[in-house]
Amino acid sequence: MRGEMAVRRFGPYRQTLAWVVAVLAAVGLLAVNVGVYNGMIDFYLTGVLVIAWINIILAVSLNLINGFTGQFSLGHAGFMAVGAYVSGLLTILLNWPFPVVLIIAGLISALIGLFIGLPTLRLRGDYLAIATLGFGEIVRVILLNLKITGGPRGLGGIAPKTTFFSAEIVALITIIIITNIVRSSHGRALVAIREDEMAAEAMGINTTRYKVMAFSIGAAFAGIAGALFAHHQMFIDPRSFTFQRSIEILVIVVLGGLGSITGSIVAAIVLTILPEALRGMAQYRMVVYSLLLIGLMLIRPQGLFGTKELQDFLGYGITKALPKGSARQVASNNGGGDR
Amino acid sequence: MSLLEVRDLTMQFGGLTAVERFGLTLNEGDIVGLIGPNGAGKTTVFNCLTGMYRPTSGEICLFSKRIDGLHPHEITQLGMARTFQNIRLFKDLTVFDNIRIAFHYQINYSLACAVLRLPGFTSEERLILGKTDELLKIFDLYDQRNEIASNLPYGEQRKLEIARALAANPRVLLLDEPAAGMNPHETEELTKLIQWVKDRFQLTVFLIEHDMRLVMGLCQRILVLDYGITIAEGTPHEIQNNRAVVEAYLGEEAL
Repeated sequence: MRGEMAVRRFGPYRQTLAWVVAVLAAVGLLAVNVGVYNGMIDFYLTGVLVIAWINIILAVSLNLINGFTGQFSLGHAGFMAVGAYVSGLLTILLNWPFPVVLIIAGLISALIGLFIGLPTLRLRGDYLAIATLGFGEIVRVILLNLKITGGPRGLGGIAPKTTFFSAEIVALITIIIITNIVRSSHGRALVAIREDEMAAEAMGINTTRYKVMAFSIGAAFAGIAGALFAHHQMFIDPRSFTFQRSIEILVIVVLGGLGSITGSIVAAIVLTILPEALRGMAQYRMVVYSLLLIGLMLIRPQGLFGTKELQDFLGYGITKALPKGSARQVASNNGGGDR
Repeated sequence: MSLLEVRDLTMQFGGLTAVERFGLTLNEGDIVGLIGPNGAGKTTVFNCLTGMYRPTSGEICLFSKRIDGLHPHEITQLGMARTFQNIRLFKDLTVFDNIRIAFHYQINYSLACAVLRLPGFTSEERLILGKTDELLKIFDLYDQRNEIASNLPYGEQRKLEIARALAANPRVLLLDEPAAGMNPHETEELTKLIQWVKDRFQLTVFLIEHDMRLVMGLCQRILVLDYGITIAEGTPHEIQNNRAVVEAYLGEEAL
């Protein structure tokens, strides 16, 4: 109902509004790039922006698993840790080129995702959440006890290879890849699994294969994000990848909207910058942050964007191939459908 | 040639025998009904045929190939699709997407092809788009193509589910109580629709139904299941006059 009201309120202007927002966002992105390039944005703020890019990668990739495929995973920090440590060690011990290190970090995380996914994806809902949570904890405990990872002392002296621009490029590639997956028959198979697994199977979709695939791809990008993180912080220890971290990523995804890439991007930016912006409030900062989260969930339980994307508001995307005139109908139907 | 051959199908859940030594032969173009009181094991038979359950014992052959033990998606890909008793549409997706998803296993482009948006992706997507629209038009659902599936009236949802099953390109179609919850008028429409769809797509149909008018009007052959045992098999006329069937439905005293 709320969605319908929104449509009525903005109705004919919605598409125009969406274009204005999109253009402003593009200009903003350009301005930030210029600002970082010629040093107008200081070192500290650039660091925050790098974290924002990393959080975008984490959120968009987790959304593929939790939002589009509907498999509730709480193990994203575990995959991030794998990527961070693998890449950190490769850089320290072998000093391989950064892009190669990123790709290997992603591949190894994907492989572990495959091994974890095969048995655990038979579980549903809460059970899968607990199993993936267990995985995250196992990774943390292993890292805490291995000699090569430095145990609880952590791994230091990783070359600071992550820049604002490298993080940006990787994040944009992630967004493009995952968007293209979601907007294909393969992506529709994932959404079918989320909607009704038994019906999806009855329609000829190999649900096990697709669930494991989504899980591994999600894990790969979490690993890459971890690698960027390691080469940004220059020092990592197991405490960077606790259960708390998985929850933080999940909050971003839920807040942005399970099943909306646009939502994950926006929420990742907002939730990275918000705590920094609230820094002036000192000890009340986390209280305000929590209240904002609770408030948002009460007003929009489906998340900021529900399952919609920027493209839907701009008037193309899913409607692209439809005949003229039906675009508006789709928009109003979507408005009524986002429960 | 028989398309579907079931021999001695038995399904046990723990100590409970839901279906016992069920047998069935479906020939090309057949339209066969499965009836029986509630809890007789009809849906269990369907679930065994479509791979949702692994039968305890027995043999199921589709196009002379053993299919018991295969996954549901493999059976669908071989050419047998089904609908569900309690409609299982992708509720929050549009009518259009519900159909489009069922074409999934017929696409050939790889994941990499989709990620890189290679020409194969575009041409196949366009092909599926056309096929989906065609099916929507055939089923008179084209005007509702952008509607969310759960917003459709009940009868239309049933229709959409049948259309979706057909998108999976089956030769054998299993319908689980297609007329459930329909009024007599809707049932009559549905009976015509099933007959028409069967002819149009050259299907072989096996259906579960409680509505006697639909079953008697549509089926050439009927099997009656009671407590998992096939108590009768024959033409609608034979079944109507079968003593055991009347007993199963109405009790012994009724005779």
